Amino acid sequence: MAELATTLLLNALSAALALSLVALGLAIIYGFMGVINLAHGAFLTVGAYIAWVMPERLGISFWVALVLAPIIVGVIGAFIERVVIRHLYDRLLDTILATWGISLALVELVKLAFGTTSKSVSNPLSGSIDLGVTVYPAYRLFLIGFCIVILVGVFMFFKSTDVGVRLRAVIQDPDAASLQGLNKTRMYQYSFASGAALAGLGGAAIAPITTVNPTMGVTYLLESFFAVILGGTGALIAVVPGSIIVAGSANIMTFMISPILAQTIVFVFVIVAMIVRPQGIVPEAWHE
Amino acid sequence: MSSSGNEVLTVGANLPLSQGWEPYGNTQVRAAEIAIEEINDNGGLDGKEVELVVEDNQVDPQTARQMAERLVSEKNANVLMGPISSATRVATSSVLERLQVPSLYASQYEGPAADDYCNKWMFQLGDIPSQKIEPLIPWLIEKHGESFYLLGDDYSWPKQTNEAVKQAVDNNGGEVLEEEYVSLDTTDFTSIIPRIEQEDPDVLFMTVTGGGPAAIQNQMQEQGVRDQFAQVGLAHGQGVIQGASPEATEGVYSCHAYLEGIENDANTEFIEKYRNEHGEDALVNYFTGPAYNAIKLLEDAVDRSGGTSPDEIREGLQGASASSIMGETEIESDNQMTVGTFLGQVNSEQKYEILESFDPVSPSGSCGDI
Repeated sequence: MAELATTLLLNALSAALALSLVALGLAIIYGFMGVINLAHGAFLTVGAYIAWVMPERLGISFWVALVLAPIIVGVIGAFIERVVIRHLYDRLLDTILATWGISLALVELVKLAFGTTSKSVSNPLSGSIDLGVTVYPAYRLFLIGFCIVILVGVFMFFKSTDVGVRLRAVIQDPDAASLQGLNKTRMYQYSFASGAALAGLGGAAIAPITTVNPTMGVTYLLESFFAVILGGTGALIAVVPGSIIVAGSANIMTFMISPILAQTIVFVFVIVAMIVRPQGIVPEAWHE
Repeated sequence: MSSSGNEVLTVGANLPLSQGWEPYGNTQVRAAEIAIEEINDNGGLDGKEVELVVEDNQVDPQTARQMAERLVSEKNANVLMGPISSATRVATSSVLERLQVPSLYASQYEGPAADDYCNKWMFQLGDIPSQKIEPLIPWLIEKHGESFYLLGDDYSWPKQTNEAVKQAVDNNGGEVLEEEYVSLDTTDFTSIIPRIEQEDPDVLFMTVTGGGPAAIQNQMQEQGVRDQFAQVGLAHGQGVIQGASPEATEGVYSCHAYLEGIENDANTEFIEKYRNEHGEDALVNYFTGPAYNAIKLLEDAVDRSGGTSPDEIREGLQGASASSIMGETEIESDNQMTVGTFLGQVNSEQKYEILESFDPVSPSGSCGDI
């Protein structure tokens, strides 16, 4: 019983943390720029394909691919911000349409380059580790630790570093920040690129435990939106409780009740939460 | 408008070529092209050259209906081919009567349980549950044991297939422990796997589609439960299982009217042509063979009725037969093909090896004269 409970908790934790990583990217782009990024799932897909193509086709180690994926997707994000998004600031509906178009284009490019069949990323840590209470797959333990390190790193970046503080200044009052000599355009570009990079990193990190195909991003796009809406956009850290409810509780309820019912309960919960607490489920004290 | 009297016979393919269904639609186009080329090299049908016109129905019922209409009214199709998904088939069936054009539907599907079974113009040229589920279940019970866990995607094909599975398990003295559905596009099965493990079935019978088969195989491998029960995946096709590692898929069973490994001269020759044309890695799956065979049945239909108008093709198809890459096939009754099926098992190179062949089963004949 303790063994099963631990396994289920770790399953839920790994799903929730992986979603937090992806949802954090979405929250940064929305929170800092007010852009609803429907290309987020496509960024994740590109990251996963990088984690596939490098070890399988180019002989580069998976671990190198895991480092390069966010960098490459971040550069793609910066480019897209420069040629498309920059011209659409403050036009919410247009950014939704434009990012959806970008998403379709990226997915079609992936299909042209690698075909439409599913790909497999071989598990770089294929064994299991004996934790005493239970034996758990090694890569999932790595994933849990890795996500925690990245999440803490990103939150520290925004709290304590110079660039982080400037970014937050731009969000709070773009015009005042401009008068202070902060380059709003540059900050927006950083935001979009780093949001995209997190999606790419998430895609690469989950690739070995799922399957890589051109449409894999859709589910994550949806779940990320739920996590962000649920947590609220007042504080970046809100994506973590949001993700725990969306992915973690669904995971546990799937075991206890049934998969379809679990998902329905989560959807209903999100809808009720949006009505009752449109500002998000986290306390206002967390807001920046 | 009838196109008989033209110098060409047009086959209008109404297939899904996008939305993740490319591996299914594209291989049907390629297979049909090869069959048509063979016919044209032999002088065509009734002296006419056969041509293939292709439209993408985007797996959408509304679009599938529009494409059927466009192929008939604008491209003068004498006969249609497709679609693939059941929802698009039901939509297309509803307009065939008005268009007065037959369609060649070359996919596995739910059979007599379908809403449009017994449509006068829809010819079902793929296998149905009585042809594979009924022989497969006793084989699995004998080989692996009598308790089954059914896991499928939450839509009509898995549910109706599982109705046939439950019936067959019951008839053969087995037991269904649990029947469970996940939403389409699910790729996280980590909490469902312990659920299956707790029930401790002898056979896990899966009708998950899309990326699901590869994801669940990878995750079962990761959790080390794959040796605890046999795994059957009716949608674990070529191009899909490659999304999991070879260790995670070895030993999985599937059962279809067509698998690449079928050993007969026609299939050897067909595979060679297919690979020459589209490369060594080109995808061949259980949708490939039925499409080739459908064109061969069309050839026999025109020979039998002696004409190429849609109505003559429809009359010729009823009773048409073909001996091709799938073995002996015939349209005896219900506009449903009588065909045998093959049980395959995935080997270490992620190809299906054929273990067993099941004899052709005739449809029930419940449609009477249509």
